[in-house]
Amino acid sequence: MLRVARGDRDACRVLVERHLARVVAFAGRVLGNPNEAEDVSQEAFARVWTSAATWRPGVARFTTWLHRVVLNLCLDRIARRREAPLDDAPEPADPAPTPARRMEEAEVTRLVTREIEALPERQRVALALCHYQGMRNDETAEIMGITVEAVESLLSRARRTLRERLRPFAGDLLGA
Amino acid sequence: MTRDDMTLERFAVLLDAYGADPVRWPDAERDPARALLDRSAEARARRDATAALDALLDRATTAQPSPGLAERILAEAPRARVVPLRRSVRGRIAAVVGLAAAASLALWLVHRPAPRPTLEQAALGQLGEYQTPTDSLLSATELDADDTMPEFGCDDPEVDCDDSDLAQVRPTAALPFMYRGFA
Repeated sequence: MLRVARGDRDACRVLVERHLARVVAFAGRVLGNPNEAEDVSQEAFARVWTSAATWRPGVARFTTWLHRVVLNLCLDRIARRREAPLDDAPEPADPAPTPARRMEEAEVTRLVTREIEALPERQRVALALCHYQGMRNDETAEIMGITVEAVESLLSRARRTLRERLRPFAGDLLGA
Repeated sequence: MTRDDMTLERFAVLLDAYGADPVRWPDAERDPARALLDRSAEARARRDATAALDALLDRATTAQPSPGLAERILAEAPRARVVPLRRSVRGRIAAVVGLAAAASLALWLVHRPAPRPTLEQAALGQLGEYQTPTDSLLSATELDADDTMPEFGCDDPEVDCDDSDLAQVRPTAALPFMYRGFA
């Protein structure tokens, strides 16, 4: 970050190459929209550039701080969506396929993605951070501003919900 | 927590929250949970059931950055201020010269000789305490002004002055040279 603050282009490039894919993936899971995920990622790195000069090493891990920035930007967008007229709202997800139908690979992917996006916001964020971003429970708690116990509870509810919703369509995979 | 402290109940909670991959388990509980897996068939069965859900979750799509995104982000990154070499060198020379001048001035102020008194100050110093110029001049020749000052014009008949003053006129030889013209 010190090199970034000095305008070291190589340091900036390394930072982007190291974190961009994870940032886009996290924003994509929270927002459920790849285009918005890219916008948020760009905004998040703009915050990185402006914060580099005042960055204090040792106060927070960069990865944890960056995820918190991304999460706040995502939550701002979700809040704006709620205030937006219905015409501007994202298209609703496709109707669920019939349970009897054997699911193709692409359909499993689409279904799982849809069910994750349908989770309550905090459950979705906790799952994205712990399962997909590989954050520890204490890091997730710090990013979300909650306790470790609360993180554990959110994760349990999220996974239980997903298990129940996916069982009719992927019972063979879930041992139904 | 020791390796034997993990219960089946707590292990079920771990699986429920973090899934089947030990990498995601809390650091403090990873080894005790692994120890339980080694000694409990039921723990292994629960772990395998949970792993199935993990496998499903891993099939969810993940947003990927588009090809131009990194460059768009880097375009907004801070840039180092580029100073032309010639300007930079000139600036350094000016700084060195300025510092040298300041140091020289400081040294001169500290070690400069005491200022020499002016001629006027020296003369006044020799005269001692200042009273009036006349007193000083007279004291140098030990003359008394009251005794030596003449009465003006009374010894010249052409000016028609009062004769009564003539008797008090002193001999001019007793006057200092600067007063002789008046006698």
